[in-house]
Amino acid sequence: MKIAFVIHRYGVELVGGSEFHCRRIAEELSARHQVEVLTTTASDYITWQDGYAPGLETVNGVKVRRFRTERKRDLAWFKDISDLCYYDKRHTRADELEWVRLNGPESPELVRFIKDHQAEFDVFIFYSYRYYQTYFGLAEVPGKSILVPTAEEDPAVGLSIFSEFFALPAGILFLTPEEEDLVGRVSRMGLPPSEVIGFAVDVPPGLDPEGFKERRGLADPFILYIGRVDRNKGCDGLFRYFQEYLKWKARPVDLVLGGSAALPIPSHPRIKSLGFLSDREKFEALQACRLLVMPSPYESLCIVVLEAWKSGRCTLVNGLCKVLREQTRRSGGGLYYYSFAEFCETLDFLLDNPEIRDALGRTGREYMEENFEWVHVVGKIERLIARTIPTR
Amino acid sequence: METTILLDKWKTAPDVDEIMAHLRKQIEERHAGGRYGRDELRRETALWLSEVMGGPAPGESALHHYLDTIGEWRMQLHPNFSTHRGRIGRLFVWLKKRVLHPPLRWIVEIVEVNAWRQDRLNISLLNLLEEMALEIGRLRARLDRLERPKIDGPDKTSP
Repeated sequence: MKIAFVIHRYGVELVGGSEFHCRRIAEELSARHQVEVLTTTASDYITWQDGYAPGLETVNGVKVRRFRTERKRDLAWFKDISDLCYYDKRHTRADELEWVRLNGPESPELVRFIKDHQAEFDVFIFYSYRYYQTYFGLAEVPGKSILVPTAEEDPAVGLSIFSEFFALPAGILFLTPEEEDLVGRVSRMGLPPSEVIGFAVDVPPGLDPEGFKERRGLADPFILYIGRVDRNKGCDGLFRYFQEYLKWKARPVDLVLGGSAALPIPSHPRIKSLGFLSDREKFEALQACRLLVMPSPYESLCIVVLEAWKSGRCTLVNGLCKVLREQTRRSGGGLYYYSFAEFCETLDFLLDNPEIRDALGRTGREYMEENFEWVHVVGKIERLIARTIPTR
Repeated sequence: METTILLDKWKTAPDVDEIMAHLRKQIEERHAGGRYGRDELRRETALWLSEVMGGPAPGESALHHYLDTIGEWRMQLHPNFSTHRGRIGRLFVWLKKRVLHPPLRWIVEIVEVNAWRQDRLNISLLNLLEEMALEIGRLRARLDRLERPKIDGPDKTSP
């Protein structure tokens, strides 16, 4: 089978949930099928600044075809049109289409390629409903397209053009049952057949968590946050809670951050920022920590939480994020909090009860092994394709 | 079940819902027992306020919903580029976008920070009002429950 993955940006060095998800799935499927990735030359997720040359290249054994973007994202224009479409009821369908165009990355060349070369591919897998290439590209080949929406509970999902759009593809791959529920609620015309695939995690062999702690000057015990240090990820709330927790409890525990910072990090002796971590370091940090804390209020699938469970570490997540809360309850791999009082109580409980903490981590790992090995993920994708796309 | 028995059980078979229920009960008991000192209460209140001031997204709160239904209330800084003039209107929209928008943007950037502050204050005050309304509702219900036995309890049951 010849499969095309269509995504806004693609590359080993890119940090981003949907980009990483797409790349790993394309790599796994390339062992059994002919895979080609159709993407843009953009590398920056805010401005769509070019970081790659147009044309063909091979990334980790997968053929990647990049197309030029017409322009960088105009942030002022995009902010205006977002305000208009999200909050002003007088906006029109044309405004929403303009929103998609301004959201970008605008690459008509990529959409034209899909239209002109559709006969060469058996199936197109489109990533992220909100971007230009997915909205306009999928409309060219609805009968042989699978959509991976990566939808979150934010205002964009409520735009009226998407309520029709979600009924368009032949099939949908959801990351979690909560995402399926969300998209089902906003789709006015019902949904095509779908599967919930989640994600599989590979833990690199031969990790050295003790060496990692020594190299990075970390002391026991510490709790870990991994990801972009950003207000959108709930990090400002985490800083507030953690500092108040320390004042209240006077407990010797550090908060270690792994990820680039888009937010000033408080200068506190017990908050340590390591900056960007390589894949190997990330898993070493996970094995070295007491637990992973994830304060994000918006997630469609939090890969680092799955990575923590696969590493046998328990998690403490923001209960206001339905995806994180329900996934935690399903997996049995951690606890969640809604308020400062619950943050303190759950954190104390997990730090004071190492055997229960380990048992939660073990349960999380078993959940991953039973549900999210590559054989399950790839099997579900192939099953959906077989059910929905007519064979050539 | 006693706490020690539960803790032993969770060492081999942890149950997230059970643990969360147990921890919430502990928090409630601490609140009910008045074991929070003045400092703890102040800290809780400050954090609660900071959460409420951050506030829910528009549309999630009942007050936002009612205000939305009675008319526009949010500050709007985006320019409106619609037209009622049919085909010729497209030319006006194009002119508005290409000629008017750049200076308009410049003016907007000057007032935007103040407008944003006002918008944030509006939303925060609405969130606070809503939280206070919820709290009053909750306290009123509790008061009703506490006062009911005094009003109609003994008379009805006495022979």
